[in-house]
Amino acid sequence: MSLKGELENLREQARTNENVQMAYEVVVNQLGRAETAGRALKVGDVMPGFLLPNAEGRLVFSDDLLRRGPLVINFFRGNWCPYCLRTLEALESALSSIEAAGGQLAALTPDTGSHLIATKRQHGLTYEILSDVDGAVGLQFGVLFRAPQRYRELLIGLGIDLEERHGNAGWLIPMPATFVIDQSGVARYAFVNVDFTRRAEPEEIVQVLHGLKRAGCQ
Amino acid sequence: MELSQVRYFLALAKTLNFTRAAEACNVTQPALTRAIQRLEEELGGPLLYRERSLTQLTDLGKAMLPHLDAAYLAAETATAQAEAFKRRDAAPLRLGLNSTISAHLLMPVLQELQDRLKGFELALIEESSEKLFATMLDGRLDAAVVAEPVRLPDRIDRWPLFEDRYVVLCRSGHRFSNLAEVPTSALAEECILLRAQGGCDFEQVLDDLCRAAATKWRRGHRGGSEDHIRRMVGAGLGVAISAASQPVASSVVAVPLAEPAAVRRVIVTAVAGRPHSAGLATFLKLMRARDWKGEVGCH
Repeated sequence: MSLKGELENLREQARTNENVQMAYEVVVNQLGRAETAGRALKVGDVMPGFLLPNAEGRLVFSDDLLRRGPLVINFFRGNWCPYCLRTLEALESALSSIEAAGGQLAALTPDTGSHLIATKRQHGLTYEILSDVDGAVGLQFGVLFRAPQRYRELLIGLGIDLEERHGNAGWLIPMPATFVIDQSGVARYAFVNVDFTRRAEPEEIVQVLHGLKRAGCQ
Repeated sequence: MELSQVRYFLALAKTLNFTRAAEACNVTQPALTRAIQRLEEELGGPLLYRERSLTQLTDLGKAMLPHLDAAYLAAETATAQAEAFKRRDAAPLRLGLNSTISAHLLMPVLQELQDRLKGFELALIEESSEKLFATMLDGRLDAAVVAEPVRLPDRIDRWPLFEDRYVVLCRSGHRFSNLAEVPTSALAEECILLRAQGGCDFEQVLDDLCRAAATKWRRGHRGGSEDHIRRMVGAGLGVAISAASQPVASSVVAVPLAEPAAVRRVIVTAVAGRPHSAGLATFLKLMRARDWKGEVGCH
Protein backbone atom coordinates (compact mmCIF):
# COMPACT_ATOMS: atom_id res chain seq x y z
CA MET A 1 0.00 0.00 0.00
CA SER A 2 1.25 3.52 -0.78
CA LEU A 3 1.97 5.88 2.10
CA LYS A 4 -1.00 7.93 0.94
CA GLY A 5 -3.28 4.89 1.34
CA GLU A 6 -1.92 4.06 4.81
CA LEU A 7 -2.39 7.65 5.97
CA GLU A 8 -5.93 7.63 4.58
CA ASN A 9 -6.71 4.57 6.75
CA LEU A 10 -5.33 6.34 9.83
CA ARG A 11 -7.40 9.41 9.00
CA GLU A 12 -10.55 7.25 8.71
CA GLN A 13 -9.87 5.75 12.14
CA ALA A 14 -9.27 9.20 13.67
CA ARG A 15 -12.57 10.51 12.28
CA THR A 16 -14.47 8.14 14.55
CA ASN A 17 -13.12 9.96 17.63
CA GLU A 18 -14.84 13.31 17.95
CA ASN A 19 -12.28 14.73 20.37
CA VAL A 20 -9.38 13.87 18.07
CA GLN A 21 -11.23 15.17 15.03
CA MET A 22 -12.06 18.52 16.69
CA ALA A 23 -8.47 19.09 17.84
CA TYR A 24 -7.23 18.18 14.35
CA GLU A 25 -9.58 20.71 12.75
CA VAL A 26 -8.41 23.46 15.12
CA VAL A 27 -4.81 22.90 14.03
CA VAL A 28 -5.55 22.69 10.31
CA ASN A 29 -7.94 25.66 10.26
CA GLN A 30 -5.82 27.95 12.44
CA LEU A 31 -2.61 27.30 10.52
CA GLY A 32 -4.45 27.34 7.20
CA ARG A 33 -5.95 30.80 7.87
CA ALA A 34 -2.56 32.14 8.86
CA GLU A 35 -1.00 30.68 5.67
CA THR A 36 1.72 29.23 7.86
CA ALA A 37 2.90 26.67 5.31
CA GLY A 38 3.51 29.42 2.73
CA ARG A 39 6.23 31.01 4.85
CA ALA A 40 8.43 27.92 5.23
CA LEU A 41 11.67 27.39 3.28
CA LYS A 42 10.88 27.41 -0.45
CA VAL A 43 12.41 25.93 -3.57
CA GLY A 44 15.39 28.13 -4.43
CA ASP A 45 16.07 29.14 -0.79
CA VAL A 46 19.38 28.29 0.85
CA MET A 47 19.09 25.88 3.75
CA PRO A 48 20.45 27.08 7.10
CA GLY A 49 23.36 24.87 8.17
CA PHE A 50 22.96 22.83 11.35
CA LEU A 51 24.96 20.86 13.89
CA LEU A 52 22.72 18.43 15.78
CA PRO A 53 23.08 15.33 17.96
CA ASN A 54 21.80 12.06 16.47
CA ALA A 55 20.09 9.14 18.21
CA GLU A 56 23.47 7.55 18.94
CA GLY A 57 24.79 10.66 20.70
CA ARG A 58 27.09 11.78 17.88
CA LEU A 59 27.17 15.24 16.31
CA VAL A 60 25.98 15.51 12.72
CA PHE A 61 26.94 18.55 10.64
CA SER A 62 24.75 19.37 7.64
CA ASP A 63 27.77 20.21 5.44
CA ASP A 64 29.16 16.70 6.02
CA LEU A 65 25.87 15.16 4.87
CA LEU A 66 25.72 17.43 1.80
CA ARG A 67 29.27 16.48 0.82
CA ARG A 68 28.04 12.91 0.29
CA GLY A 69 25.05 13.88 -1.88
CA PRO A 70 21.77 15.80 -1.99
CA LEU A 71 20.02 15.73 1.36
CA VAL A 72 16.44 14.72 2.05
CA ILE A 73 15.31 16.37 5.30
CA ASN A 74 12.14 15.17 6.96
CA PHE A 75 10.74 17.11 9.91
CA PHE A 76 8.56 14.94 12.12
CA ARG A 77 6.67 15.63 15.32
CA GLY A 78 7.80 12.67 17.41
CA ASN A 79 7.20 8.98 17.91
CA TRP A 80 3.88 9.82 19.58
CA CYS A 81 2.44 10.71 16.15
CA PRO A 82 1.11 7.70 14.15
CA TYR A 83 1.26 9.63 10.85
CA CYS A 84 4.93 10.40 11.48
CA LEU A 85 5.71 6.77 12.24
CA ARG A 86 4.08 5.49 9.03
CA THR A 87 6.04 8.13 7.12
CA LEU A 88 9.33 7.23 8.81
CA GLU A 89 8.73 3.56 7.97
CA ALA A 90 7.84 4.40 4.37
CA LEU A 91 11.08 6.40 4.12
CA GLU A 92 13.01 3.40 5.45
CA SER A 93 11.43 1.24 2.74
CA ALA A 94 12.46 3.83 0.16
CA LEU A 95 15.96 4.28 1.60
CA SER A 96 17.73 2.05 -0.91
CA SER A 97 16.04 3.93 -3.79
CA ILE A 98 16.97 7.27 -2.20
CA GLU A 99 20.58 6.18 -1.85
CA ALA A 100 20.65 4.66 -5.34
CA ALA A 101 19.59 8.09 -6.62
CA GLY A 102 22.59 9.56 -4.75
CA GLY A 103 20.59 10.98 -1.82
CA GLN A 104 21.16 11.13 1.95
CA LEU A 105 18.30 11.05 4.43
CA ALA A 106 17.95 12.70 7.84
CA ALA A 107 14.81 13.05 9.96
CA LEU A 108 14.60 15.86 12.53
CA THR A 109 12.34 15.93 15.60
CA PRO A 110 12.13 18.25 18.61
CA ASP A 111 12.11 15.14 20.83
CA THR A 112 15.12 14.67 23.12
CA GLY A 113 16.55 11.95 25.36
CA SER A 114 15.68 8.28 24.95
CA HIS A 115 12.84 8.98 22.49
CA LEU A 116 15.25 9.18 19.56
CA ILE A 117 16.85 5.77 19.87
CA ALA A 118 13.46 4.28 20.82
CA THR A 119 12.01 5.58 17.52
CA LYS A 120 14.88 4.02 15.57
CA ARG A 121 14.79 0.65 17.30
CA GLN A 122 11.03 0.19 17.48
CA HIS A 123 10.55 1.01 13.82
CA GLY A 124 13.71 -0.49 12.34
CA LEU A 125 15.04 2.81 11.02
CA THR A 126 18.63 2.90 9.78
CA TYR A 127 18.96 6.50 8.62
CA GLU A 128 19.93 9.50 10.77
CA ILE A 129 17.39 10.62 13.36
CA LEU A 130 18.49 14.00 14.72
CA SER A 131 17.30 15.84 17.79
CA ASP A 132 16.35 19.39 16.82
CA VAL A 133 16.76 20.55 20.41
CA ASP A 134 14.37 23.46 21.21
CA GLY A 135 13.20 23.41 17.58
CA ALA A 136 16.05 25.74 16.61
CA VAL A 137 16.41 24.35 13.08
CA GLY A 138 12.65 23.97 12.59
CA LEU A 139 12.20 27.67 13.35
CA GLN A 140 14.91 28.59 10.82
CA PHE A 141 13.14 26.44 8.21
CA GLY A 142 9.85 28.18 9.13
CA VAL A 143 8.07 24.89 9.87
CA LEU A 144 7.51 25.33 13.59
CA PHE A 145 4.18 26.25 15.19
CA ARG A 146 2.77 26.36 18.69
CA ALA A 147 0.23 23.62 19.32
CA PRO A 148 -3.15 25.34 19.90
CA GLN A 149 -4.68 24.90 23.35
CA ARG A 150 -7.29 22.40 22.15
CA TYR A 151 -4.55 20.26 20.66
CA ARG A 152 -2.34 20.57 23.75
CA GLU A 153 -5.25 19.38 25.88
CA LEU A 154 -5.79 16.40 23.59
CA LEU A 155 -2.13 15.38 23.80
CA ILE A 156 -1.98 15.81 27.58
CA GLY A 157 -5.14 13.69 27.84
CA LEU A 158 -3.38 10.99 25.83
CA GLY A 159 -0.38 11.14 28.18
CA ILE A 160 1.83 12.86 25.59
CA ASP A 161 3.82 15.45 27.50
CA LEU A 162 5.76 17.58 25.03
CA GLU A 163 7.37 19.56 27.85
CA GLU A 164 9.05 16.39 29.06
CA ARG A 165 9.91 15.25 25.54
CA HIS A 166 11.28 18.61 24.39
CA GLY A 167 12.80 19.79 27.66
CA ASN A 168 11.04 23.16 27.30
CA ALA A 169 7.55 24.53 27.89
CA GLY A 170 7.02 25.98 24.40
CA TRP A 171 4.81 23.23 22.87
CA LEU A 172 6.40 24.07 19.54
CA ILE A 173 6.08 21.31 16.96
CA PRO A 174 6.94 21.17 13.27
CA MET A 175 4.43 20.97 10.48
CA PRO A 176 5.24 17.78 8.65
CA ALA A 177 7.72 18.89 6.03
CA THR A 178 10.12 17.28 3.58
CA PHE A 179 12.84 19.08 1.67
CA VAL A 180 15.37 17.97 -0.91
CA ILE A 181 18.50 20.07 -0.67
CA ASP A 182 21.11 19.98 -3.44
CA GLN A 183 24.82 19.81 -2.67
CA SER A 184 25.18 23.59 -2.85
CA GLY A 185 22.63 23.86 -0.01
CA VAL A 186 19.72 25.09 -2.17
CA ALA A 187 16.22 23.62 -1.68
CA ARG A 188 15.08 21.84 -4.86
CA TYR A 189 11.87 20.39 -3.46
CA ALA A 190 9.69 21.47 -0.57
CA PHE A 191 6.62 19.74 0.84
CA VAL A 192 5.03 21.54 3.78
CA ASN A 193 1.44 20.93 4.83
CA VAL A 194 -0.47 22.32 7.78
CA ASP A 195 -2.48 19.10 7.68
CA PHE A 196 -0.31 16.68 9.61
CA THR A 197 -2.12 13.70 8.11
CA ARG A 198 -0.67 14.46 4.68
CA ARG A 199 2.94 13.72 3.81
CA ALA A 200 5.32 13.74 0.87
CA GLU A 201 5.28 10.43 -1.03
CA PRO A 202 8.72 8.79 -0.88
CA GLU A 203 8.39 7.91 -4.58
CA GLU A 204 8.11 11.62 -5.39
CA ILE A 205 11.29 12.33 -3.41
CA VAL A 206 13.16 9.61 -5.31
CA GLN A 207 11.99 11.16 -8.59
CA VAL A 208 13.30 14.57 -7.49
CA LEU A 209 16.68 13.01 -6.66
CA HIS A 210 16.80 11.30 -10.07
CA GLY A 211 15.96 14.64 -11.66
CA LEU A 212 18.86 16.29 -9.85
CA LYS A 213 21.17 13.48 -10.93
CA ARG A 214 20.13 13.81 -14.57
CA ALA A 215 20.56 17.57 -14.45
CA GLY A 216 24.03 17.01 -12.97
CA CYS A 217 23.37 19.51 -10.22
CA GLN A 218 23.88 17.29 -7.23
CA MET B 1 6.02 30.64 12.19
CA GLU B 2 8.87 32.42 10.55
CA LEU B 3 12.04 33.54 12.31
CA SER B 4 11.45 37.13 11.13
CA GLN B 5 7.90 37.16 12.57
CA VAL B 6 9.29 36.12 15.94
CA ARG B 7 11.97 38.81 15.70
CA TYR B 8 9.34 41.46 14.93
CA PHE B 9 7.20 40.34 17.85
CA LEU B 10 10.16 40.45 20.25
CA ALA B 11 11.04 43.97 19.04
CA LEU B 12 7.42 45.05 19.55
CA ALA B 13 7.29 43.52 23.03
CA LYS B 14 10.42 45.52 23.88
CA THR B 15 9.47 48.89 22.35
CA LEU B 16 5.64 48.65 22.56
CA ASN B 17 5.68 50.88 19.50
CA PHE B 18 5.12 49.73 15.89
CA THR B 19 7.22 52.51 14.34
CA ARG B 20 10.21 51.95 16.60
CA ALA B 21 9.95 48.15 16.27
CA ALA B 22 9.91 48.44 12.46
CA GLU B 23 12.98 50.72 12.60
CA ALA B 24 14.79 48.32 14.93
CA CYS B 25 14.07 45.43 12.54
CA ASN B 26 14.88 47.47 9.44
CA VAL B 27 11.50 46.85 7.76
CA THR B 28 8.59 49.09 6.82
CA GLN B 29 5.84 49.44 9.39
CA PRO B 30 3.14 47.92 7.12
CA ALA B 31 5.38 44.86 6.56
CA LEU B 32 5.88 44.46 10.30
CA THR B 33 2.17 44.94 10.99
CA ARG B 34 1.23 42.30 8.37
CA ALA B 35 3.73 39.81 9.77
CA ILE B 36 2.39 40.30 13.30
CA GLN B 37 -1.21 39.88 12.09
CA ARG B 38 -0.27 36.55 10.49
CA LEU B 39 1.46 35.46 13.68
CA GLU B 40 -1.66 36.37 15.66
CA GLU B 41 -3.81 34.29 13.31
CA GLU B 42 -1.44 31.38 13.75
CA LEU B 43 -1.41 31.68 17.53
CA GLY B 44 -5.18 32.04 17.66
CA GLY B 45 -5.62 35.55 19.09
CA PRO B 46 -4.22 39.09 19.38
CA LEU B 47 -0.76 39.43 20.89
CA LEU B 48 -1.06 43.22 21.39
CA TYR B 49 -3.71 45.77 22.23
CA ARG B 50 -3.47 48.49 19.62
CA GLU B 51 -4.76 51.67 21.17
CA ARG B 52 -4.01 55.11 19.78
CA SER B 53 -1.40 56.12 22.30
CA LEU B 54 -0.74 52.83 23.97
CA THR B 55 0.43 49.47 22.69
CA GLN B 56 0.38 46.71 25.30
CA LEU B 57 0.85 42.97 25.25
CA THR B 58 -2.34 40.95 25.68
CA ASP B 59 -2.43 37.98 28.05
CA LEU B 60 -1.68 35.73 25.06
CA GLY B 61 1.21 38.05 24.11
CA LYS B 62 2.58 37.88 27.64
CA ALA B 63 2.17 34.10 27.72
CA MET B 64 3.92 33.65 24.36
CA LEU B 65 6.79 36.06 25.05
CA PRO B 66 9.04 33.70 27.05
CA HIS B 67 8.48 30.82 24.60
CA LEU B 68 9.12 32.89 21.50
CA ASP B 69 12.09 34.57 23.17
CA ALA B 70 13.57 31.16 24.00
CA ALA B 71 12.86 29.80 20.50
CA TYR B 72 14.45 32.84 18.86
CA LEU B 73 17.52 32.58 21.09
CA ALA B 74 17.79 28.86 20.30
CA ALA B 75 17.64 29.54 16.54
CA GLU B 76 20.20 32.36 16.74
CA THR B 77 22.50 30.21 18.89
CA ALA B 78 22.13 27.30 16.44
CA THR B 79 23.23 29.53 13.54
CA ALA B 80 26.24 30.82 15.48
CA GLN B 81 27.05 27.29 16.61
CA ALA B 82 27.04 25.89 13.04
CA GLU B 83 29.19 28.79 11.81
CA ALA B 84 31.68 28.45 14.67
CA PHE B 85 31.90 24.72 13.96
CA LYS B 86 32.65 25.39 10.29
CA ARG B 87 35.30 28.00 11.14
CA ARG B 88 36.81 25.63 13.75
CA ASP B 89 36.64 28.38 16.37
CA ALA B 90 37.92 27.96 19.91
CA ALA B 91 35.21 26.27 22.01
CA PRO B 92 35.95 26.71 25.70
CA LEU B 93 33.66 24.91 28.17
CA ARG B 94 33.86 25.37 31.94
CA LEU B 95 31.89 22.58 33.47
CA GLY B 96 31.04 21.79 37.09
CA LEU B 97 29.99 18.52 38.65
CA ASN B 98 28.35 18.02 41.98
CA SER B 99 30.67 15.89 44.11
CA THR B 100 28.15 13.02 44.22
CA ILE B 101 28.05 12.71 40.42
CA SER B 102 30.76 10.67 38.80
CA ALA B 103 32.64 12.23 35.90
CA HIS B 104 32.48 8.89 34.06
CA LEU B 105 28.87 9.69 33.13
CA LEU B 106 29.97 12.66 31.07
CA MET B 107 32.85 11.02 29.27
CA PRO B 108 30.98 9.93 26.11
CA VAL B 109 29.71 13.50 25.63
CA LEU B 110 33.10 15.06 26.37
CA GLN B 111 34.76 12.56 24.03
CA GLU B 112 32.36 13.54 21.25
CA LEU B 113 33.13 17.23 21.80
CA GLN B 114 36.85 16.42 21.76
CA ASP B 115 36.50 14.46 18.50
CA ARG B 116 34.34 17.00 16.69
CA LEU B 117 35.08 20.51 17.99
CA LYS B 118 38.55 21.47 16.82
CA GLY B 119 38.99 24.22 19.39
CA PHE B 120 37.48 22.37 22.37
CA GLU B 121 39.04 23.50 25.69
CA LEU B 122 37.58 21.90 28.80
CA ALA B 123 37.89 22.94 32.44
CA LEU B 124 36.13 20.48 34.77
CA ILE B 125 35.61 21.15 38.47
CA GLU B 126 33.92 19.31 41.34
CA GLU B 127 32.04 21.20 44.05
CA SER B 128 28.84 21.29 46.10
CA SER B 129 25.75 22.33 44.12
CA GLU B 130 25.49 25.65 45.99
CA LYS B 131 29.06 26.61 45.12
CA LEU B 132 28.54 25.53 41.51
CA PHE B 133 25.47 27.77 41.17
CA ALA B 134 27.28 30.71 42.74
CA THR B 135 30.24 30.22 40.40
CA MET B 136 27.91 30.01 37.39
CA LEU B 137 26.07 33.19 38.37
CA ASP B 138 29.46 34.92 38.75
CA GLY B 139 30.21 34.00 35.14
CA ARG B 140 33.10 31.69 35.97
CA LEU B 141 31.33 28.48 35.01
CA ASP B 142 29.18 27.67 31.92
CA ALA B 143 27.17 24.65 33.06
CA ALA B 144 26.81 22.29 35.99
CA VAL B 145 25.48 18.78 36.41
CA VAL B 146 23.82 18.32 39.79
CA ALA B 147 21.21 16.13 41.49
CA GLU B 148 17.72 17.11 42.59
CA PRO B 149 16.27 17.72 45.10
CA VAL B 150 18.39 20.86 45.27
CA ARG B 151 17.68 24.53 45.97
CA LEU B 152 17.87 26.10 42.54
CA PRO B 153 18.43 29.87 42.32
CA ASP B 154 15.87 31.76 40.18
CA ARG B 155 18.16 32.55 37.31
CA ILE B 156 19.19 28.97 36.58
CA ASP B 157 17.75 26.92 33.70
CA ARG B 158 17.48 23.20 34.33
CA TRP B 159 17.02 20.20 32.04
CA PRO B 160 16.29 16.78 33.60
CA LEU B 161 18.53 13.97 32.33
CA PHE B 162 17.58 10.82 34.25
CA GLU B 163 16.24 9.38 37.48
CA ASP B 164 18.90 7.80 39.64
CA ARG B 165 18.00 5.39 42.49
CA TYR B 166 19.76 5.71 45.81
CA VAL B 167 21.66 2.58 46.82
CA VAL B 168 23.47 1.24 49.86
CA LEU B 169 27.10 0.32 49.25
CA CYS B 170 28.27 -2.65 51.30
CA ARG B 171 31.15 -5.10 51.27
CA SER B 172 30.44 -8.34 49.36
CA GLY B 173 29.30 -10.92 51.86
CA HIS B 174 27.63 -8.27 54.02
CA ARG B 175 24.08 -9.17 55.16
CA PHE B 176 22.69 -6.63 52.67
CA SER B 177 24.63 -7.93 49.71
CA ASN B 178 22.15 -10.63 48.69
CA LEU B 179 19.04 -8.50 49.20
CA ALA B 180 17.07 -7.13 46.25
CA GLU B 181 16.41 -3.93 48.23
CA VAL B 182 17.41 -2.56 51.63
CA PRO B 183 14.56 -1.33 53.87
CA THR B 184 15.30 1.96 55.63
CA SER B 185 14.68 0.36 59.03
CA ALA B 186 17.64 -2.00 58.47
CA LEU B 187 20.03 0.98 58.28
CA ALA B 188 19.64 1.69 62.02
CA GLU B 189 21.95 -1.20 62.87
CA GLU B 190 24.76 -0.07 60.60
CA CYS B 191 27.55 2.48 60.88
CA ILE B 192 27.14 4.73 57.87
CA LEU B 193 30.23 6.25 56.30
CA LEU B 194 30.07 9.96 55.66
CA ARG B 195 31.60 12.36 53.17
CA ALA B 196 33.94 14.81 54.90
CA GLN B 197 32.48 17.77 53.01
CA GLY B 198 28.99 16.97 54.40
CA GLY B 199 25.67 18.38 53.23
CA CYS B 200 25.51 16.26 50.08
CA ASP B 201 22.31 14.70 48.75
CA PHE B 202 23.37 11.26 50.07
CA GLU B 203 23.19 12.47 53.67
CA GLN B 204 20.06 14.47 52.98
CA VAL B 205 18.16 11.45 51.61
CA LEU B 206 19.28 9.40 54.59
CA ASP B 207 17.91 12.02 56.98
CA ASP B 208 14.65 12.25 55.04
CA LEU B 209 14.09 8.49 54.77
CA CYS B 210 14.95 7.82 58.42
CA ARG B 211 12.66 10.61 59.55
CA ALA B 212 9.82 9.16 57.46
CA ALA B 213 10.50 5.65 58.84
CA ALA B 214 10.83 7.02 62.41
CA THR B 215 14.26 5.50 62.73
CA LYS B 216 17.77 6.88 63.30
CA TRP B 217 21.06 6.27 61.56
CA ARG B 218 24.49 6.04 63.17
CA ARG B 219 27.39 8.14 61.97
CA GLY B 220 30.45 6.15 61.03
CA HIS B 221 33.89 7.09 59.73
CA ARG B 222 34.43 9.97 57.35
CA GLY B 223 36.01 9.85 53.91
CA GLY B 224 37.35 12.78 51.92
CA SER B 225 36.31 11.55 48.47
CA GLU B 226 34.11 9.00 46.73
CA ASP B 227 37.23 6.89 46.23
CA HIS B 228 37.88 6.92 49.99
CA ILE B 229 34.28 5.88 50.69
CA ARG B 230 34.37 3.01 48.19
CA ARG B 231 37.65 1.70 49.61
CA MET B 232 36.41 2.01 53.19
CA VAL B 233 33.22 0.09 52.29
CA GLY B 234 35.33 -2.57 50.56
CA ALA B 235 37.49 -2.92 53.67
CA GLY B 236 34.41 -3.36 55.87
CA LEU B 237 34.65 -0.04 57.72
CA GLY B 238 30.93 0.51 57.27
CA VAL B 239 28.22 0.93 54.64
CA ALA B 240 27.53 4.09 52.61
CA ILE B 241 24.75 5.72 50.64
CA SER B 242 25.37 6.25 46.95
CA ALA B 243 23.40 6.26 43.70
CA ALA B 244 22.90 3.61 41.01
CA SER B 245 24.72 5.66 38.37
CA GLN B 246 27.92 5.77 40.42
CA PRO B 247 30.70 3.29 39.63
CA VAL B 248 31.45 0.56 42.22
CA ALA B 249 34.65 -1.38 42.96
CA SER B 250 34.61 -5.19 42.57
CA SER B 251 34.68 -5.77 46.34
CA VAL B 252 31.63 -3.55 46.85
CA VAL B 253 27.95 -4.34 46.20
CA ALA B 254 25.32 -1.65 45.51
CA VAL B 255 21.81 -2.56 46.72
CA PRO B 256 18.89 -0.17 46.03
CA LEU B 257 17.04 1.38 48.94
CA ALA B 258 13.53 -0.03 49.15
CA GLU B 259 11.52 3.19 49.44
CA PRO B 260 10.06 4.43 46.15
CA ALA B 261 10.99 7.97 47.21
CA ALA B 262 14.68 7.05 47.32
CA VAL B 263 15.35 8.47 43.88
CA ARG B 264 17.21 11.56 42.80
CA ARG B 265 17.02 13.30 39.46
CA VAL B 266 20.21 14.24 37.67
CA ILE B 267 19.90 17.55 35.82
CA VAL B 268 22.11 19.78 33.71
CA THR B 269 21.94 23.50 34.49
CA ALA B 270 23.08 26.81 32.99
CA VAL B 271 22.38 30.47 33.73
CA ALA B 272 19.02 31.56 32.26
CA GLY B 273 18.94 34.32 29.68
CA ARG B 274 22.69 34.39 29.14
CA PRO B 275 23.82 33.73 25.54
CA HIS B 276 25.29 30.27 25.10
CA SER B 277 28.73 30.00 23.52
CA ALA B 278 29.11 27.47 20.70
CA GLY B 279 30.87 25.08 23.12
CA LEU B 280 28.13 25.33 25.73
CA ALA B 281 25.30 25.09 23.18
CA THR B 282 26.81 21.95 21.66
CA PHE B 283 27.41 20.40 25.09
CA LEU B 284 23.82 21.08 26.19
CA LYS B 285 22.39 19.62 22.99
CA LEU B 286 24.44 16.45 23.35
CA MET B 287 23.44 16.11 27.01
CA ARG B 288 19.75 16.69 26.35
CA ALA B 289 19.53 14.41 23.31
CA ARG B 290 21.34 11.52 25.01
CA ASP B 291 19.65 8.20 25.80
CA TRP B 292 20.44 8.35 29.53
CA LYS B 293 17.78 5.80 30.41
CA GLY B 294 19.43 3.17 28.23
CA GLU B 295 22.88 4.13 29.36
CA VAL B 296 22.46 4.39 33.09
CA GLY B 297 19.80 1.69 33.21
CA CYS B 298 17.62 3.86 35.45
CA HIS B 299 13.96 4.71 34.96
